[in-house]
Amino acid sequence: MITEIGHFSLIFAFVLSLCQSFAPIYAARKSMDVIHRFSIRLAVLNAVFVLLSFSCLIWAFIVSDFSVALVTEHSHSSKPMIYKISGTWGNHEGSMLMWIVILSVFGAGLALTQKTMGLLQKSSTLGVQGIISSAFIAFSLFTSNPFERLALPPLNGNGLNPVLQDIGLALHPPTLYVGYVGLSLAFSFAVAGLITNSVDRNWARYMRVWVQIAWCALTLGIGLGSWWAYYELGWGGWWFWDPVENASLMPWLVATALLHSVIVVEQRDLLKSWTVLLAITGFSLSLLGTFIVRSGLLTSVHSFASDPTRGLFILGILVFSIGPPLLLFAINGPKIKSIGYLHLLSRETGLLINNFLLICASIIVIIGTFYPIALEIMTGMKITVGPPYFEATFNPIMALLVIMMGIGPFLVWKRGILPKSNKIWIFAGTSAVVISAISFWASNELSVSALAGIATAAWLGISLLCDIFVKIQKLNRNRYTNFWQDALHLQWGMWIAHFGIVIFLVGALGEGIYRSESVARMHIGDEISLGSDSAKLQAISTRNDSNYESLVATLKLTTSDNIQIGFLFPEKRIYPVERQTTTEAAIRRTVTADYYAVLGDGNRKDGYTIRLYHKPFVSWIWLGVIMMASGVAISIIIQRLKPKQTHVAFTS
Amino acid sequence: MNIRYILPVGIFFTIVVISAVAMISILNGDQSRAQLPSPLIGKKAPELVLSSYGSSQTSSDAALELTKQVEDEPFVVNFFASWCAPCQKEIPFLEKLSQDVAVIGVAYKDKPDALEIFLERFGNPFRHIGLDNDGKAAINWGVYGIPETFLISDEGIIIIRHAGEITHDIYRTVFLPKIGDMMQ
Amino acid sequence: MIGAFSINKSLNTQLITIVIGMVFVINLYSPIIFKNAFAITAEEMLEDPILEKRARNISAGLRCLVCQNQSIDDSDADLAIDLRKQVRDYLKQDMSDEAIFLALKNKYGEFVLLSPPIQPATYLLWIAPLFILGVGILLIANLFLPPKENNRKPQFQNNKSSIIKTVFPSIKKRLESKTGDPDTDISAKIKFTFPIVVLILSVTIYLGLGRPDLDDQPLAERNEIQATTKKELKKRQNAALSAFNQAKINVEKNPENLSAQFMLAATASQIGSIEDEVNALEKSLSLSGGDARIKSQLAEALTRQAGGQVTKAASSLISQVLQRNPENIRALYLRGLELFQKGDMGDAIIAWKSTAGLILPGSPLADTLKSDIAKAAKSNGVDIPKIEFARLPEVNIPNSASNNALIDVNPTLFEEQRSQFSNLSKIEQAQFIQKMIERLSKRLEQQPENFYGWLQLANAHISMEDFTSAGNALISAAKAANSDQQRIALIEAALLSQTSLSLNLLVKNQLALLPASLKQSNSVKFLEGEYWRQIGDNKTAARLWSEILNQIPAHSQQAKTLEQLIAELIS
Repeated sequence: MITEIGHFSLIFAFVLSLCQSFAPIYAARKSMDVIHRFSIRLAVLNAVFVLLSFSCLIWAFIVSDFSVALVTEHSHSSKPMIYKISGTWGNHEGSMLMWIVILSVFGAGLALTQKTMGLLQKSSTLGVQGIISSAFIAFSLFTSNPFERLALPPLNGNGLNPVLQDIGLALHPPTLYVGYVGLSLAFSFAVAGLITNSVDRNWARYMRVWVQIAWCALTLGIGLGSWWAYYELGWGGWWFWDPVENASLMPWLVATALLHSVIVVEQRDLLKSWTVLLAITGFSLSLLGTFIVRSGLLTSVHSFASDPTRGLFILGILVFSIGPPLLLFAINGPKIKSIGYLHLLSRETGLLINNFLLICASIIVIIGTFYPIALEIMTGMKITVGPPYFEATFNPIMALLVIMMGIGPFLVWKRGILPKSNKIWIFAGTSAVVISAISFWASNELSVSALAGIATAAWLGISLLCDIFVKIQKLNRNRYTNFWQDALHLQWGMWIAHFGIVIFLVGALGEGIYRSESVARMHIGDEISLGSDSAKLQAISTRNDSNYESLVATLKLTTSDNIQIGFLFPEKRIYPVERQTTTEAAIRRTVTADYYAVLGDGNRKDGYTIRLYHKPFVSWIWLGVIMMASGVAISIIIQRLKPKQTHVAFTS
Repeated sequence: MNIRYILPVGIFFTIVVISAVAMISILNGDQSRAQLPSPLIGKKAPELVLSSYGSSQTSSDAALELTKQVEDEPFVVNFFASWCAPCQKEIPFLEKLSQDVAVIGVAYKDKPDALEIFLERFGNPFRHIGLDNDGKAAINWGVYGIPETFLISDEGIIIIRHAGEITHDIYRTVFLPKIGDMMQ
Repeated sequence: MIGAFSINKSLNTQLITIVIGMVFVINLYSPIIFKNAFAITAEEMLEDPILEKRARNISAGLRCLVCQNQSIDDSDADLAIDLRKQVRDYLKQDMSDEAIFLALKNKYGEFVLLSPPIQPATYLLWIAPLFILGVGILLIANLFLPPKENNRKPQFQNNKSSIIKTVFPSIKKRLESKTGDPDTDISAKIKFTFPIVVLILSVTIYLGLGRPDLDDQPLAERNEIQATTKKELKKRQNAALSAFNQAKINVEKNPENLSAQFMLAATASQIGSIEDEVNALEKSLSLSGGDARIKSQLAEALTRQAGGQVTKAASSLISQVLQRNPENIRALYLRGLELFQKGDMGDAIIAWKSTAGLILPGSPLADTLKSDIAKAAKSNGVDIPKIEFARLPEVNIPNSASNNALIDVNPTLFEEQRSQFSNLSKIEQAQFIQKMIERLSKRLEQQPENFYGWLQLANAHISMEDFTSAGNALISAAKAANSDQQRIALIEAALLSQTSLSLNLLVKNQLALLPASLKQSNSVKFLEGEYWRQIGDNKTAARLWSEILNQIPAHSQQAKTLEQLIAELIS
């Protein structure tokens, strides 16, 4: 019964979202506010039913109802409860439903907040959202229905893959999806703005918060994925330029550009059509990210072809969600006229250059990811575009961006004069050079690119600190206003987010430049050196768990002065039922470095192969990511705290 | 034309083209797409010096230049192993091939006794079998997974490289036409 | 033969599931399947640290071809290990880094290089970033260049113009004339119609997609069923295992006994031990002196052993069987399979079609045959041919429950019902028989002494091709048999049922129970002859049949048939 309720509510939500998308058109014809209000309410109702449907599916997973085909495929009665629940979205059909849930919840979120927004604008934004939503529910219902039933349920399910039982895997997709889907709202804003010709400062103000939420989630999602790869994969990397990773990076870069350009629209009423284009592209890339990659086009055309209906449906959605808006943009875009002028030395120019660099970077990622496929389809030639390509093309552009980030915050809106900042820049520049010189002196094996990396990171960090210092000092000097009130108006969000990048760079550079590694076949009692530290293999023991046996090594880490750092317990697990072996890396985290150990093959007689890494500052990578996301979150909160003000139509 | 038009229209067409290409390749996702094109095609076949199994088993330690054994006639080189399931499935087709051309088998990381059972059970279409115990010959021929089958012309030029099982379709559409051409 | 196929099928589905699973996993969480990656081991490393460092650098630039965007340095795949060794070998031969990359590129193509080389095909790839950067700088610079007059002025004074105005003027018109208040009117209308429309639409879709007939089956509620099923399964497994062990003991005691060997084969097949089954069948075959049925069973077992591939040995067995009896279902099916695997699709279809001609549409093999023929037709590019299954053998079936009372009477009497029955379609017939089997089984549980009931059940099973169940029914019938006439009927049915040799034992026992006078009758003699023929003693069979031949009129139809049979036996 519950399953069928879930199925029916999904169908009901489908019909509702169809109504939601047609209502504004109908209302526009008749120009009736009541229908606009009605369609806004529909968005909420829609979310309620989609949520109900999703809860029913989760329920089926919780009680292991194997009369649901999806549960049979992807669950097992002996799984721990948390993985039963996360199994709901750990598969194609379920993740589609989760995608729809997030889509509707975002729609309902818009419907319930931002009361000051124009009725026509709101209902048409939700209308566009409704079109996307109905397309995806149709996709879910007609090609990958999660509620498919089995008349004769089996005794147990097939989904007991130990490798898939991981907390990182349970959290990574939902977070990433919130990011992807959040961009759908920006997309809807853009399309509705084009249709109703309401792209202005208010439009930007309403849209901005959604872009920020989506960006936060996307950033955290990518960060989680990378963290998972780091601790789980067992070779200590954190970014592999894998097509799947690239697919999430593409929308992130565009969303980052959008995050900045929407500020320009809000503040200066400039770059409007550009922002609209970014919003459309951002969501398109999200779609490309989730679907083309997931269906396997990037790795092999064959896995896609295994279910042509599904593949064609996805492509259909892709083309119809990108095509008409772009066409609309081509027709209507030029009429969105930005009023006002751009000055060379102004913050808007700074943000324009930021946008330009980010878009360059994302185009590079797109090219690097899709070039091999295009080449193969056209010439049959198969090449690999691996990390070296991206390191040679993507990294320099990012370095440029980081340099610009040190300059941007000093610039002021509109007319640009250099506010005493040249001194700061000279200071920051010199310190950057000094810092890289010191690091070169400390270990003279550094390559040019490593030195450049250190210098740019130092430059950004110092100039950011200077910026904060100068602005707070200015505030102090002004005695006529309340210090704390004004302090709230400072760009804390931006500072934290940008400082997150500095932290991230420290982690990435520290890991990239200073990591050390050693591999050895060790007997019990043997010692190997790892940089200046050393590790001693103290014991190898076996351990039995409910569904696996494992071999655990005990390694004792000591510094050169014989001070104990800690112990590492790398494992090798054997799952006899599934006939799988997995290696569980052991990580000893300290603020300044991670010690990372992997246990390989071997036996007591010949010893065991053990691979050890010393990775300085590696956890700063994710600390930086968290700072970036929380910076944007803080900025959202600060916006709420500020006294409300609606922009009056800007006239110059 | 205004840049404002070029940009969206450009993006639109790029996406349409990408989708169209994707759609086309989905619709005729033929088998050849799964294959890595081998750079060896059209080149002289690498040498194949291996200890031989079978007919000359008495001198099984002596290395034998297998390609020399079939000089001046077209031949097929098949990398296989007794532990691989597709390899046994393609034996009937190798038998058919062996009616027209010489077939040389290279047993990849295999044991002679397992090989013996395999050949007895599924048939032995091979004129010679070389033992590639360390996988060096496979690397030398650019093999990345077994079974892989090469067709070499009478001039010693590699004409076909097929990775994966020879199925009925592959036999009919890939091998037969080329062999027909060579026979003429 | 059915066994061979169900195994084969489940293997396929498993494989497909695995492949699909892999694809899914690769796509979602790409690096996961390489989780085991431990990569380089201590043994591989070179002594010389400088060379080793170079080796690591080179490895990091080479792609593991069977992995996903992973270097051979990071991968644990077999190929990656081999390639790492190769790289180190090259290094030992004093090759330069470039030479090593080139050597591997020449073998595996550009694909092996993680950094794409600069060449015509990748010019675009390498130039594109620079090009984009350049174009972008130009565009931005353009914004700051001294303005041309027309560039600076807004081209569209009226920034209210929109697509609504240009494309849908009427909409726009109404949009602007927001006057009047028809809202309340409309709102009432909507309140009424909207829920109805939405409900009707969703219910329609739901009826197309949903399964309102199915109830939830949470695991907790099914635990009980599960437990009993498990018990049942376990019981059956244990029974099979003990039967197998018993058979093994019997064979050890008496290795030259044919039926003991055959029992061993049958029980081995039940516990799924193909090796034992094949061995036992081989022994049975040599003991029986080349019995056709054992041959075909052995051929099937060999095929199953090879994972569904018809092996050389199986193929020659099939040929032998078909030479003797071109209508041996098992052998004919396997011949079709062999031809299919060789790619001779046309011949495979012919063989399978004639197999279909020998079995009933309801038999378990029928579906396999249909899908196999379809597969063969598809890969041959021809339309799926029409498949003619066998007509039902003429068994007599009482077609209503009221007739059950008549079962005790010799069932050859129901001429009328027989003609009624043959008017039914084949599927109806099969369903009919199935129902009858159910009815009979229930009845016989209560009346295990009902001989004709058991015989009837056996006949029904035989017509459904379910020989195992038929055998069981016949064994029960043997227990119930108490007159000579019944014994003869039983022997006849047992010989007809074409099943295992264990039934032959039954026949032997029953024959022994018959009085000597009856044994001299022609009909019993004929049956006895058939018995010897079936267990492979052709000489005795020929002798017995010749005796009959001497007693019947020389040119009768019967005599001709017998002569023919004897001739076949002797050859």
